Amino acid sequence: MTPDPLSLTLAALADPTRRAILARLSQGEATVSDLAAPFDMSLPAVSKHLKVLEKAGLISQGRRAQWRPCRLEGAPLRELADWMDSYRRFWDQNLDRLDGYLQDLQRGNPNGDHH
Amino acid sequence: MATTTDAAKLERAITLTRRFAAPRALVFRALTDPEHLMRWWGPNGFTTPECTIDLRVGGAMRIVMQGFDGGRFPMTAVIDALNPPERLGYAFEAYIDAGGPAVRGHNLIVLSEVDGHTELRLIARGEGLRPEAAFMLQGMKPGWSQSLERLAALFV
Repeated sequence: MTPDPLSLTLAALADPTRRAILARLSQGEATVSDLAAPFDMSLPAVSKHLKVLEKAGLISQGRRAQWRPCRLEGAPLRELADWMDSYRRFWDQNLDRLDGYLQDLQRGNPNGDHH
Repeated sequence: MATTTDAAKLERAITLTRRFAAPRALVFRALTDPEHLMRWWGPNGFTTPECTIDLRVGGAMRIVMQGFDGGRFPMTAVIDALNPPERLGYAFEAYIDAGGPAVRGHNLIVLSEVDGHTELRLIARGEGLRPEAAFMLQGMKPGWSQSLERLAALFV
């Protein structure tokens, strides 16, 4: 089964090295050697992390430029960040449950389970 | 390209209105008394095992939701508007497990009596997520990564 994009994003973010790479890229483009510099890590090891980030759509790597600079891609992070719809859904469900609770309360059944 | 400048524009506001067949005082109590709130707070599938509310302006609120897989989503808040049984406002920070605050925002709840019902209006605004806040999603368990809907839990 192919993981959904959000799972890919979250899995990619679940590693401290990859988060550090993203934090560095949030300041601008960087080459693989730039990105490897702060870590005690071989270039292939860093490239492996970059592949995970690229697969999740979090970064892109230049194909043509000689140094193949990496840069941050906005869309998946925006998907995570686009939280107001989720927030609205949260409150919709929250108020549904409040409504049910109030009805039970007025029927004299305050122990009604709304979880 | 996501830059901190882009992220800074993510502050937005929502307004929700809902009508309840219950007296305003009761609705207000259900929203502000932990004994009541713990019985209903949270989206489907969540429980609220912890809740403390110091109901005064400047008073602290803490609500901890728990997901079906045990993931905990604490919210801390400071009350900045209070006029029972009509108005409750608080500035909040929402967390994911032990991670730092993922979202900051403000909720204002206004209750009015309309045709024998109680109308609730929620005006919510939030600042988030910043890119670094997204990184905090590391605390999310695999079960949590299944759907964006579950992310709603972060934004109490």
